[in-house]
Amino acid sequence: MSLELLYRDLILEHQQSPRHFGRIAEADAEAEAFNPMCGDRVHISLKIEPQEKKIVGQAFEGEGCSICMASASMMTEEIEGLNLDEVESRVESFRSLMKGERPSGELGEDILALQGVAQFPVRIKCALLAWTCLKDAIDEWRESKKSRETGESTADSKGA
Amino acid sequence: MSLQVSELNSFSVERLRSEFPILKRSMGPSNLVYLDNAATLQRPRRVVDREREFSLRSNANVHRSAHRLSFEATELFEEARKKLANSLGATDSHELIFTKGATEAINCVAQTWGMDQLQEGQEVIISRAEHHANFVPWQQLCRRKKLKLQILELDAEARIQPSALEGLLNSNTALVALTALSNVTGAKTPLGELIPIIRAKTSAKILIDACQALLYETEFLKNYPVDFLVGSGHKMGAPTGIGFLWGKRELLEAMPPYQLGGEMISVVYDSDSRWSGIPYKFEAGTPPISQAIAWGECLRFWEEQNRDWLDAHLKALTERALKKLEEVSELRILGPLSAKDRHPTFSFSVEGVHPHDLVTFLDSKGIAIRGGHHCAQPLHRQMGFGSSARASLTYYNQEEEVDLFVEALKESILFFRRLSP
Repeated sequence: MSLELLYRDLILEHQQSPRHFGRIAEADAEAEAFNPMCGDRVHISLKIEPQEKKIVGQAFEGEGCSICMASASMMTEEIEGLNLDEVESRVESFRSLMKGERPSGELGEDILALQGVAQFPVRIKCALLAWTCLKDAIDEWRESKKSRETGESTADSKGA
Repeated sequence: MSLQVSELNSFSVERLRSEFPILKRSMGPSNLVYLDNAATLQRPRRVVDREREFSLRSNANVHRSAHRLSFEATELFEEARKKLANSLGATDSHELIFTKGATEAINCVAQTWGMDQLQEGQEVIISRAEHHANFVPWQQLCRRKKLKLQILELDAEARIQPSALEGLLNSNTALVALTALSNVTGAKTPLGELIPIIRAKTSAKILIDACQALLYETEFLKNYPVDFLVGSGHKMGAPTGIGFLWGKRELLEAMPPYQLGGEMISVVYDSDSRWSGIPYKFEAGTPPISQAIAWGECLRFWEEQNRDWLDAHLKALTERALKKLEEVSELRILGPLSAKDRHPTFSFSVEGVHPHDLVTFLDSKGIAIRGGHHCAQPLHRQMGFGSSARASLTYYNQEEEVDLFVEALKESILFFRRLSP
């Protein structure tokens, strides 16, 4: 196994200067994920435009190894301006990349720097943490939107 | 040292290593450098052979049947119990209960003695250095029974100071549960000083988690008169899946059973049952038989080594590691900085490099260390470490391995900080 393949310069660069690092003050969706084995933690916060279900703001913060932090940082660049269906498709593509497969859909060029992780089974979880967290945040947003809408329509019908 | 030089010379680390086949395994560029002994110790060939021999020749369930094979298995199993009791310095082998591990032993005491005997308002003291197995069971017991959990804080080098314990003791203290040797910091708990203080000031019971210390302290109970002692076999080279709870007879007899089923009953009626005496009351179901017998063999193996040589070698390893680690300026040790207070288990952080990345880097060179919180999150939080990397050494490690490890550590710092300004 080659360490250079795993720890590409781009990964270390993202770790040292993470993009979109922090929390969005009034986030529409957020989630936190932990890896109890190594103590890694990632928090994701999103601004979502509800009509087109588009990401209009994204941030992450947390602590973890270089793979975990670089993956989170790259992910925030990857999803910029996408709608939620596109975001979910990227999450799936990234998962397939981590299985050592050809990505199931589109993925940005930077993300491919993480493909070496697939050769290190114990580290795949590190790379996936932020993506799992992102999926959680989106799922929760969809759920609460659904219940809000049913709540509203019940309220409407009552009003009528 | 009581031995003649010529006698000591016949013991060597090469000879000891030859008993552990895994140490010859190639891990890519070099042979395995195993520095994760605090997680589990490697097994001597003899221990594995003994378990295999029992399984292939004498296997039967114990205490169950009158046929010869069962009688033989029972004899061997009980002989292992006596062997372990003897090595712990216990006089009565009935006070020794085989469990799945130290974790189960602690949970057993919390769920039976703790649930039964402790009253609202009483206090349980644990130290900041406890791993989760000696932390969470007491934390949850305290929540359920409305007891007060007192956490004994450590000094700047993560050591327990007797004066700090003294400050926490009072007439409500019902239990003091401490590790004998921290799996994170390597600090030796000064039990020789602490126990008289606890006895003088309270009637609290003392439980000691000896997981890490068991291999290094023989006849533990003779040196440290406690009420409960727990440990795990695999931390000293026995198989996994077996540990023990030792308790004073009167305490064990007063405790209700932990699990119910076969082996632990004397009579079962339709509406009620009566329990067996100790230790069987606490050994519901079929016990880990072959593991116990292999553990007995493991104890014999260590007895045959020369203690003076082992202790001198361990001291040399500790001093060497401290000296070499000092050369790495980016490194911060979570634990005592002097050899006399510690065992060669070193947890540390390296500025700018995450422990998990260090583990991967060292692994690529065949060096096995651990990264994470080592099942001790409250300790890491308090000492300002998110997590740490840990190298834990034992008798079969060599000074050359210490050097290889520290060199690889220096290399990894250059590797991960190559883009740093």
